[in-house]
Amino acid sequence: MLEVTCNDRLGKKVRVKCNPDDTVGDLKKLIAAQTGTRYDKIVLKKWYTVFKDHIKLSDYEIHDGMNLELYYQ
Amino acid sequence: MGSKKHKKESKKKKHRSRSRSPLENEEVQRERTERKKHRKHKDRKRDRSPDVEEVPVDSHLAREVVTREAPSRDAPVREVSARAHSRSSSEERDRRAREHHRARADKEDVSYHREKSSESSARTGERSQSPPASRGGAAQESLSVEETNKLRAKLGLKPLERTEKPAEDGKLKDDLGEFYHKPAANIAQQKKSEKIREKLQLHKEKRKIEQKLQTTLLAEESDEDDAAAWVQRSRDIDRQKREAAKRAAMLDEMDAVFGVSALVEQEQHEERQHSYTHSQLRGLRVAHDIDAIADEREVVLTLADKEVLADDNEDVLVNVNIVDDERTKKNLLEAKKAKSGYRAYDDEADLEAAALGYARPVLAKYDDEINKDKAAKTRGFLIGDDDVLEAKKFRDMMRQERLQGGGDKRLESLQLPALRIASDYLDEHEIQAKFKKTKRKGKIRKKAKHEPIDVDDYDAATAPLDTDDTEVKPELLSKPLAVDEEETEPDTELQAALARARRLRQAELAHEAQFKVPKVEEILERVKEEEPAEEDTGGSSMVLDATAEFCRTLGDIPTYGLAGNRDHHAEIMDFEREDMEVEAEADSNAGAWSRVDVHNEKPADLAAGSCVGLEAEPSLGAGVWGALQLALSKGYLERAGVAPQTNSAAKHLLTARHYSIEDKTYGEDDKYGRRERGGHSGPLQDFREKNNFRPNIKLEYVDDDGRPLCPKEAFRYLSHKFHGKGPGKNKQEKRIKKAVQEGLMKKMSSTDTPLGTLQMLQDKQRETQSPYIVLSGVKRENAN
Repeated sequence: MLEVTCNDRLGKKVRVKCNPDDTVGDLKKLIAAQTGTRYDKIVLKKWYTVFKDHIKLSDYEIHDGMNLELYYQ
Repeated sequence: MGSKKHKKESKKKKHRSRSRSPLENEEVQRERTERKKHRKHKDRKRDRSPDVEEVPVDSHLAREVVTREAPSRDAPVREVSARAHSRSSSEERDRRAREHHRARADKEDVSYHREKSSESSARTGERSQSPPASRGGAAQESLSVEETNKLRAKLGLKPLERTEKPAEDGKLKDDLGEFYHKPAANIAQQKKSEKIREKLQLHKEKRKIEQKLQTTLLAEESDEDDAAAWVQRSRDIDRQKREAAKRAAMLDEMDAVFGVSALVEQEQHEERQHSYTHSQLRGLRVAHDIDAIADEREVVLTLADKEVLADDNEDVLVNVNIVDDERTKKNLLEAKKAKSGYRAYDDEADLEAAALGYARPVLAKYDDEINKDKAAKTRGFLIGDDDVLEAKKFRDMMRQERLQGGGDKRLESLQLPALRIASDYLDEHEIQAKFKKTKRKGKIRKKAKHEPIDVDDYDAATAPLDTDDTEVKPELLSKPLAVDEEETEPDTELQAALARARRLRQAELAHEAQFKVPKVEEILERVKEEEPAEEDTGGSSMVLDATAEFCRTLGDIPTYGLAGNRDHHAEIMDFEREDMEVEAEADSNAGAWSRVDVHNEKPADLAAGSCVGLEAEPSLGAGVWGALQLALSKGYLERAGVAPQTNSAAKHLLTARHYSIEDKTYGEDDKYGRRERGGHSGPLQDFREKNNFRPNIKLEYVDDDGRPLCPKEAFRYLSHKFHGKGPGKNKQEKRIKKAVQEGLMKKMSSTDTPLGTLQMLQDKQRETQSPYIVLSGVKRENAN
């Protein structure tokens, strides 16, 4: 289990618990459940890397306590 | 709990709100209104059933999910309420954070009552740890594991994996759970253990050393043994001694019985006698001077102490008394030396030694220090080594001899007499020493005065040369020559006298020559005398000095006489023929300066027209010769230029025998001459500037065809050459054209037009026999 922090810098900052073998899409759904935005409107980024939905968090080397950038499309 | 905190939060929000965007401001305001509402709720003692604070997160989330799943007609209202919860008040958030912490702490135990937990946490003053409250940023939300799992179940995902505990063996798995990591060594612990180890080591060593040093002391020993034991022991020792003595006595007795002891004793004595004679002492060194050991006295010598481990332990014999004496002597000497301090020069003894041919040591004072033992070894003498003693004796003898000044040597002390302060007054003995007056040698001088040098007396033939072969004594030489003023009288008098004498002598010689045949020696003498004079008079040889040389070069003026107006032969009168022949040489030198004979000079014959400027023009009428003459006089024809050359050749023949050219530069460049003069005198003849010398310089430039160029053209030509770039084709053509025209112009006759009009005119006139011509109207005719 790991916990990532997602922050759009507009006032939303959520900590989400997830498994390393979850996909980015799953994470997005979890985030959506916590924040109330639709998951397909969420874009997760780290610097200039846009995380794709079908790839696992472990493959992106997303570890516990990492900060992800939360954008909307 | 929450009221104070709530206020704080709200204050913060206010502060932040200034910098926030208007949109957020709106939110904040909304929140405020909500809070007011809450207060109202509180005031009303929470009459409304679903209190915001007490709403469990799950329910709200569930509601949210429900709203998303089925957006019903009352969706907007619910949305708002949900929003309100999500942007929940700080109190609620705090509580939730605490819940999280709790949940983590005791894993599965969810059955805690929320209120209770909140109360307990408030009591302990614990702050939530796992989710660091986002004081700096925006709102932060996090669900507990339970909630997340529920949510995941709804989303169709597998539940969260529980984080595995670190293995019991202290090993940590890496993030992927593949590798075990060795825990990092605790440096502090390491240090501590090392310290302890060192301490232990130290103690160990101390113990060891103490063990080693532990010895039983005499007193301790005696303590444990009492007097009786000591007595016993001493008695034992005594008894043993007695037994040993008894045994020895018994053995001696046995020897005596067999008569062995006497034999042995005798043998021993003999052996010692035999082995140790004075010959055994031969070669042993005695460390004293042989003089130190008195002759007729018994001196006991002992073997000197020496190092046991020394490499060459030669035995040296010393007498203790003499050693002491020597030491005192040496000490005294050193004390004296030390007192005298530094001496730049060696004392006399050293000098003496040097004079006697001993090697003079360098810095001898350190010799003793440097090799002590060597000095000790060489000191003294060897017993029985007579040669060395002899040699020493001989050396001493020689030394004595030398000191007495024997042989061919004379010793001189380099010490100067003691210095004294000079006094202004003479000493007694100085007064006694008189100054000798130099005697004037009046006699000699008088003689010289009265008899001026008589040349006749010094006649080589008759009178012998009056030189004295007597020895010149050095004292005479050393005396300063008494110089008389009369001796240094002006040279003129002497010169006059000499000249007179010479003249007399010559006259006599001439007289003698008439009457008697001169002797051979005389002749030789005369020849010797006259030789230098001969050079002056010249004789048959010819000396050319600068002037002569100048004249000689003048003679080669190439144009001289070319005009024919210098034809002396023609001018010479009959009566001068003989003279002419005599003077032929001189004249034929072609020198410009023909000698002017005052006596033979004849007045210039004006009638003959020999005057150069007014020479009459030869008439043409006298045939070819006349024409040639005219041509010559005008310079149209060149006379065959051989005449002067032949003459010069003759002259060369004549003068070749004693021909020598005097140095024209007065040896300015001649190194020999220069050496003679020492090189510091300037030129003998001072430089005269040639005032009237005007060099005739004319710069002329010609082009490739040899045509003369004007300065402008010349410049252009040079410029072209310099730059390596000729003029253009047009320019060249132009120039050629110009040159051609110029040529034509030159060829053109000056008397006629290019078309020969004048010629035609003249022809016409001749034809018509009239001084005029008639110009007709027709152009053609005129042209013809």
